[in-house]
Amino acid sequence: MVEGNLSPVGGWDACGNRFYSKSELYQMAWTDVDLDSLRVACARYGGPIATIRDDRKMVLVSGGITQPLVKIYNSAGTQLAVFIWDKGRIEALGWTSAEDLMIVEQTGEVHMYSMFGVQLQRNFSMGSEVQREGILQCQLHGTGLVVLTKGLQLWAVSGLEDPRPHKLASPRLKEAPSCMAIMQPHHTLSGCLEVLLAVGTNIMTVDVDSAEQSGTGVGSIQQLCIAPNGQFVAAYTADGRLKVWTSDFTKALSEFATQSEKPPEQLEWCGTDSVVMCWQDILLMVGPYGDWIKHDLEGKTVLVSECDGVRLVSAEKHELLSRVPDSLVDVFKIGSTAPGALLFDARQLFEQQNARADEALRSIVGQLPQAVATCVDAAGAEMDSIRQAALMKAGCYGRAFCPVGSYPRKRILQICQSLRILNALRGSDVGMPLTLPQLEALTPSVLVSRLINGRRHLLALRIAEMLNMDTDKVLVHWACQKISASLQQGDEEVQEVVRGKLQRYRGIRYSLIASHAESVGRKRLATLLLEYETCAADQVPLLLSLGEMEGALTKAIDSGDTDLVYLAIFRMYRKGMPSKSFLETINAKPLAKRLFISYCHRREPELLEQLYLGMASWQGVGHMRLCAALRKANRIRKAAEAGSSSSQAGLISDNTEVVQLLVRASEQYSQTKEHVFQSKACAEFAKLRTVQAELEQEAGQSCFLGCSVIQTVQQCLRLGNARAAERVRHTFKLSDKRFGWVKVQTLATLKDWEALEALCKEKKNVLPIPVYIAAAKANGAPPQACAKLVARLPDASRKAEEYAALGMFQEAAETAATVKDSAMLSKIQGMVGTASPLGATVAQIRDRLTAVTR
Amino acid sequence: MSTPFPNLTSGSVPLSRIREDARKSLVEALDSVRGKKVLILDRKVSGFLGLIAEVPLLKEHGVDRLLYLSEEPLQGIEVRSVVYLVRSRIENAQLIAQQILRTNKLGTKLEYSVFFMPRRTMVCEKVFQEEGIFADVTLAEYPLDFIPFDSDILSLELDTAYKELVLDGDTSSLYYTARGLMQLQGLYGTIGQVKGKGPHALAVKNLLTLMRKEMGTKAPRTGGGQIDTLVLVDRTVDPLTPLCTQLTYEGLVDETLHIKNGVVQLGAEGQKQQKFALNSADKVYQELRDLSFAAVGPKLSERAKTLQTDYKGSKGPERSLAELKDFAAQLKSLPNITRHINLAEAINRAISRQNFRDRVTVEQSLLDGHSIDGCCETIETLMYQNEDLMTVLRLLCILSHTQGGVPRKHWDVLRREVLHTYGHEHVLTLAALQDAGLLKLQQGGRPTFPVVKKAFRLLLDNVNDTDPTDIAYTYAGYAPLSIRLVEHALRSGSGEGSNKDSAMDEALKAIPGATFDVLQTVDEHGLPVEQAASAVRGLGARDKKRRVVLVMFIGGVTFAEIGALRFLSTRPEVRSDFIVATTKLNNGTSMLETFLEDVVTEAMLSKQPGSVLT
Repeated sequence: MVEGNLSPVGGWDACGNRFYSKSELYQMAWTDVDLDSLRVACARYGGPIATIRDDRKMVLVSGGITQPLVKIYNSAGTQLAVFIWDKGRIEALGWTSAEDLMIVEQTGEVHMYSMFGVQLQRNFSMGSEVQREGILQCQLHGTGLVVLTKGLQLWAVSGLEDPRPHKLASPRLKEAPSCMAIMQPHHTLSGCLEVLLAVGTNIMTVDVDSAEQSGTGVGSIQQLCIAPNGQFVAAYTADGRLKVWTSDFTKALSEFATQSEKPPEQLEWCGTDSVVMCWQDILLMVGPYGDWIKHDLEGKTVLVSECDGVRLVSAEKHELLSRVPDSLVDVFKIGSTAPGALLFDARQLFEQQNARADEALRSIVGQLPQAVATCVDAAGAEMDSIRQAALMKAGCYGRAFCPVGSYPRKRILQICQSLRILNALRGSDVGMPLTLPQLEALTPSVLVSRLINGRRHLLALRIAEMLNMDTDKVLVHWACQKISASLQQGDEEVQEVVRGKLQRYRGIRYSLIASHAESVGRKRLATLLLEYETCAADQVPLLLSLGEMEGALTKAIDSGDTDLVYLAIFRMYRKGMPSKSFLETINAKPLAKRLFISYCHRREPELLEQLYLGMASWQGVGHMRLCAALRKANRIRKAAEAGSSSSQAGLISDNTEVVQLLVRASEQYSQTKEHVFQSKACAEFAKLRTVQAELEQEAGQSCFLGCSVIQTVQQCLRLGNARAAERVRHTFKLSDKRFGWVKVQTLATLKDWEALEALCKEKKNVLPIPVYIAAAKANGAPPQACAKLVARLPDASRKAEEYAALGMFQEAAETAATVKDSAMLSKIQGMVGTASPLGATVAQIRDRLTAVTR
Repeated sequence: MSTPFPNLTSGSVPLSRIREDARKSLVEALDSVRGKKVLILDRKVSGFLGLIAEVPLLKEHGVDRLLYLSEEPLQGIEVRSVVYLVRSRIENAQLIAQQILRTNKLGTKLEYSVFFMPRRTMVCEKVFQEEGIFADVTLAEYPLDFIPFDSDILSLELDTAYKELVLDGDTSSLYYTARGLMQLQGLYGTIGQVKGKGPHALAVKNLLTLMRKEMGTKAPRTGGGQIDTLVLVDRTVDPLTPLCTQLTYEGLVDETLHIKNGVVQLGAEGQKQQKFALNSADKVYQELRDLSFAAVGPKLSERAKTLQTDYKGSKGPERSLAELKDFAAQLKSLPNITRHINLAEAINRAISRQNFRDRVTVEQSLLDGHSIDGCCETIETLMYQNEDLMTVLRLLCILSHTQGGVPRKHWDVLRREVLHTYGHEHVLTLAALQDAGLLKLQQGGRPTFPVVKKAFRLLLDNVNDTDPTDIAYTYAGYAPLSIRLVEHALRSGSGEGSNKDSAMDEALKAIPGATFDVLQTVDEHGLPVEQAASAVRGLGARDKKRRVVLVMFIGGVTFAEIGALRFLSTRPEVRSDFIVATTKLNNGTSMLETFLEDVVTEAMLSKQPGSVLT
């Protein structure tokens, strides 16, 4: 019992067991448009429409401009742009998926325009071969185009970001195909673009690698059209039949005899289950089971296929022909007793304050969630806002009586949000007649991109905010457009406008806006805007390209990211000697200075030396010289180790160089009194190298250079050259004690125990005996050798202990007894026990001692 | 690389996610280069890569050969692709450039990809540009910051961080630290509270705030994070601790045998070196690692004895199969116990040397502050005996730190002896240590160490080795200041402050660098902000639940310090579980080695007293 004014059924046509509706979207706002004499290109998803005079048709030109005009309208026929086409003859025009207009000349030149008629810097050519052979056919798709040359070769561009024409496999045709169609990459198995060619009674599938027969004997085809989902192909054959196959031509799905003598002017899919053909004034729609509907047309009409229907654009109006979704059929079909219809009735009765509402509700109580779903889905599918509201109310009414959780509230919210978006877009000022399935296929983020491309920033922002999407993109795009549009205004003024609007949003990437400002030549504005950027990694590079060197350096340092500091430094310093201002800037920033020094230290030592000189940092210069000397010394050492037969003379001159560098280092260090030690050390080092070179010459082998003073003495001793050792000792003023230690250590490592003992006996010995013992032990001396050293210990207790440690218990005991150390004695006794003869001896000594003390 | 991975799931926060992520991005990196390839690693990366992935995994993803980075040309390579995985350091970029140039010269055409860790940098790109190979290589990043070393240890493996901070003034490591901490917060949620002391700790905290602000609404979520508190420990506040000799089991293994990337090598001279992993997967080690070394022997023999009694008990037919199974399971740990006995023996040999004893004695009396002249003489004698240079330098730095400088009468003598014994090239080393403030001359003014020592009770008598009650057991009576600061940070602001704490606050002022305590929160717009903890009331009356505390050591941490933290987590009054993060696991020797110039290291290599033809 639907109120008459609410029912849409009047506009429905049955086609088999389905209903189709033809609903008006807009009365076209354009006037004076004669579609017969125009080429028309309509963008999918309710996008803009472009027209240009069809130069293949005879037109009466009545003075004025003779060059054709390209006019761009939105779907409601409101003009967006117009511009003169002053280029060559047009082969094809169409819209990309980003809603840019692509116009292909017959020469293969491709030009791109925005929907506002602005030429984009993205024009390209299909290449010289295409130009030479000429174009036979050209088809565009959302992300590229395919050209069939008169030489029957195929060229394609896929991806307009980086348009590179590439040749497809040669189809090796003898005659021109009757028609062709493009399978977009996302529809093919291979993931590559494929082209279908109708040749004779066969179909060929061509891609980059191969050209194969895919349908043989399918008949002589005059027109081909691929369904929006890429799964089906519709074809019109020469004998007036419409045939549908799966897209691989393995299965014929349906066939319909049109009984027309003329081929249709256009063949398009309506959604994915029916096909529409149009002749001069007749529109014929054929459903999947051979059912059909015929409409009369008033004048030329352009068909635009969508994923759920087909749009009909004529001079007067813009209509949508689509299948009525099941939910709407359930609710509104005359005599429907589906739960959804009953719920809708119940709500109507409820509003009329009729008690039968309750009765109606009770009758479907078990099916309520299903009824609610039907009403809500129907609301989403409905175009008319009054019916949307009525259906939505019915859904909410029913949900109130549903068991908890049986129908998700979120779904109602989503449909409401989508309807708000769709209704806003359908308004004739925006002119985007989308349906819910189309919106879902398009995705909200693409919608937002399209809106900002169409300069609908506010709407885009509202939608993004409502759907909790990232609003940055919208705002940044707006700001960039604003800057481009305000070339006459002052920098501060623009900055204030932009900042004023964006202030309440967080995390805006001002660097993008600033970079746009720079690209339109407004450097100062860019600098002003960059102040608001919070991310240093974005800010610093741009500041540098704006020439704000110091600012960039400061920001880089503040960010703590040393790599950004390096970026700034390198940009400021170009190869060669740095300028004075560079040095001044660097000097004022400790981090920058130290990083630069650290870099130069590794990469450009010469420059670093210059820097140090410039800064009067003498110790720095000294440091560099010393490093240079060491590098050289290391090389000498390496050469000697590798046994390379460098001549003695060569070695000496190399070493002289090292010595000179050391002397120079010493001089530098001596300039400041804090570095006296370093200065002296370098001088001493130089002396050492000289002495070592002499020693090597004397010894005839390279075993001195690279040694420390002590090691040099050791080497002398090892070579048995005591005189040389003495000389080195004298030169470097080693104390007696130190010299004594070297001798002990050397003799011990040489395991020359006799010499060690002899040394120990020397009158001028300055070292305590334990040093000798320790050295001997550490180098694995035999007990007898150690014992000789132990015997010289002055302290008897210590001596006893050492004897015991060597296992010489009798001697230990005797020594202990001499100093009456009974504690030591009992310890020794403990070590040997009493059972062994040795033990007995010790016990004897012990007894003797006790007897004496008693 | 054949060592078992540490178990990363057993800690208070599962660190395994970091390793999984790292493995995933490593595989992605390898797969991005088609076909078989040669993988070239810098030595440092190759060291810790074993903690991320095993060789078979690399093979599975097309790695045909593994090489170390060098400047020698590539020869005999059968594949076309070469993948470099290196730290983004100038030196590495130079080596790569040299290698590619030299290989090109031989006429070998190869395809090069370079993965910089943890990110590609301007500096390295500049080197490539200047060497003219920029066009020949594909540059990419391997964004690995923290590397998990154990269930509670993360390291950035920035081995030169401390030296760069104190000597070069290069603060890159602070940036990477903050980056790594942000990455951790991305995984485990924003850390509510950040505390710390010292200039570099403050800088890291500021960077964290800056980075969170830069991320805006995309910053890691606040509230409900798995880590409650972050304590930033600045090594420049306590450079003393790593210089001292660690006396826990793990610490001594590191001091005497060196733990590299969680692995230690053991074997008598001439024998084959045995490698084994030291981490929490080894249950015996888990039990022993943080004990004072003095307590390790008894513990090991106790374990062995238990086994023995069990074995004796298991004789006889009355044992059930289940009991036998238990016993067999225990037997499995037997080789492990043997290994640790061997390890303990090796340590024992090393520490019973007279020189080692002298060194520890000098350390103790320097910390105590008595018989300084005697100490100086002992240090000199150690040099006479050609003791390892790093050990000598560690002692000299301890002397400087504890006494406010080296006494004037020993200053030149000691420095001159270093040059005479170890070579004059060490003028540079001494100068570097002086510039870094680690080594200095005593000049009037009161040293701060005694004040700090008193306030923080750094020296304790009567430390019980087997059943310690204070962290001081880790250094035989010296409590590391770093860990005392952590204790202090965890106590302060919790309403449990006392007079002692106020003395500490006073002493803190004597140490350079700010002390801070902030909360990482969001404002009313949900944007990240930082708030002073003192401004928020009610923090004191926090519930008594255990906290998870991340302690980040900027400039390195020693095993003994980690041991001290693990010990703290067992104390009932601390109520915290710790995760340790660091720029590098180090000890005094590895810390001071970073101060050696490359030319000096090279000169030292050739200084093994050569054989003389006699």
